[in-house]
Amino acid sequence: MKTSARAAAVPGARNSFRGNPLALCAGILLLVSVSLQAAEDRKERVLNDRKEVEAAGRWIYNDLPKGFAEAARTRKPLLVVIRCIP
Amino acid sequence: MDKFVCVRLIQANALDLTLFQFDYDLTFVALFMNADRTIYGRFGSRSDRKDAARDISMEGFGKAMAAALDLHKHYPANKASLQAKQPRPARFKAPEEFPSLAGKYKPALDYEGKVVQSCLHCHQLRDAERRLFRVERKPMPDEVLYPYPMPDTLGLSLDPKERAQVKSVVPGSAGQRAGFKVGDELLTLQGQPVISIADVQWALHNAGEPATLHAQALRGRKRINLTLELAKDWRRHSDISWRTTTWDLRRMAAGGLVLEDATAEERRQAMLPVDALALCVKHVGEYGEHAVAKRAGFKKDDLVVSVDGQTRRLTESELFGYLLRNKMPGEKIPVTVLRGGERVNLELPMQ
Repeated sequence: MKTSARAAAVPGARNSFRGNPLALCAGILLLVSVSLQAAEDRKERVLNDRKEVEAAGRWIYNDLPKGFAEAARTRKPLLVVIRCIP
Repeated sequence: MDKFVCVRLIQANALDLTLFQFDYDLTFVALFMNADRTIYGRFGSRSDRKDAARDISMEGFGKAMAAALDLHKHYPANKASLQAKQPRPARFKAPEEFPSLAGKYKPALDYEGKVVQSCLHCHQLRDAERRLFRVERKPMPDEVLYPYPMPDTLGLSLDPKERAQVKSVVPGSAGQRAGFKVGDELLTLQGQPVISIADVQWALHNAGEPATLHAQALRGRKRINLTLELAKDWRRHSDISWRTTTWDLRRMAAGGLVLEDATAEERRQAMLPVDALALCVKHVGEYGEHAVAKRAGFKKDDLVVSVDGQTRRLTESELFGYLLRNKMPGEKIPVTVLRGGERVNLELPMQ
């Protein structure tokens, strides 16, 4: 959420609407629409990531205790990847 | 991959900070460990905002995995050599214990509701740690300001396709003075077996100021010992401008300004010598606490030539270090900018 807010702070984005209320409203609506779409896209990515990784069966998904138990049982080392979903 | 138990974590919610200590600005990091929680090594490095993959490669990752398997094969006989790779004592055991994050996130993602918003990002840990220093009105230490320095800070560029092989050495740098040469393969640093560039960063992150670091490298078929001497302020040469967490430093120290060292042409036009402070305002924040500089009168394309009487050349990263070590929230710092050829005196509020 924070990263999105940072990305939205585009230099000069507001100046082009100065003095034109209709253009400003249209701009705000556009920004809101783009932000909602981006949030929806990201939600899809998060949900799909879990589905796809679990379906592949190679990774233990978001369950570290299970990973430790499996490593102890198999005597294999753990590879823990922390990957933010973009 | 099938020689490992592979675990994928996607958020920092309830992350065990007594175990997971790494560069929190990364969006991809791997830790190799034993079932008894002993860390074999880390993988994941970054030094560029846009190109997240500049400092990593599949080849390098594969070599780090092979080295981790080798460490696992010889464990626990090699346990003593891994001691310095283990996590340091943590002030907070979980991200949610930081005052600025408390009560805002649940231990797990809300898959049934707003799953994206329920995610606590790794970079928020570094933000929260730094905010604590400002709230407690304490100078921000260099290791908090300049975390996980790349070996480039010492003048050593390492090849991302290898474990930790020297690709270039900057003349006159600490790396060159230590005797490093192109092609050297770093085997150990401070006695720690090195399996990646991230392992070098871990050793540097935990080094003192000043520090003497002992390294062993492979040159051809010969093992050689090298000694790196790090000056008192060695971390301050780190470039942190690419980091996501620097956005919050810009709020604290620059009221939302993004600053870039002026180019040679900009210096020539402004008639400023090469060793003078000349930071070009590339962006002025528009909202909330990021608009403090805007409200103080700063404008895009201003050229900052004096801050608190400092007129020697500084990068944005170095300037933030000076301000966050020496100036507390509420203070107003005298700043002079060049605007259209005129000198304009302003006051920059610290946050």
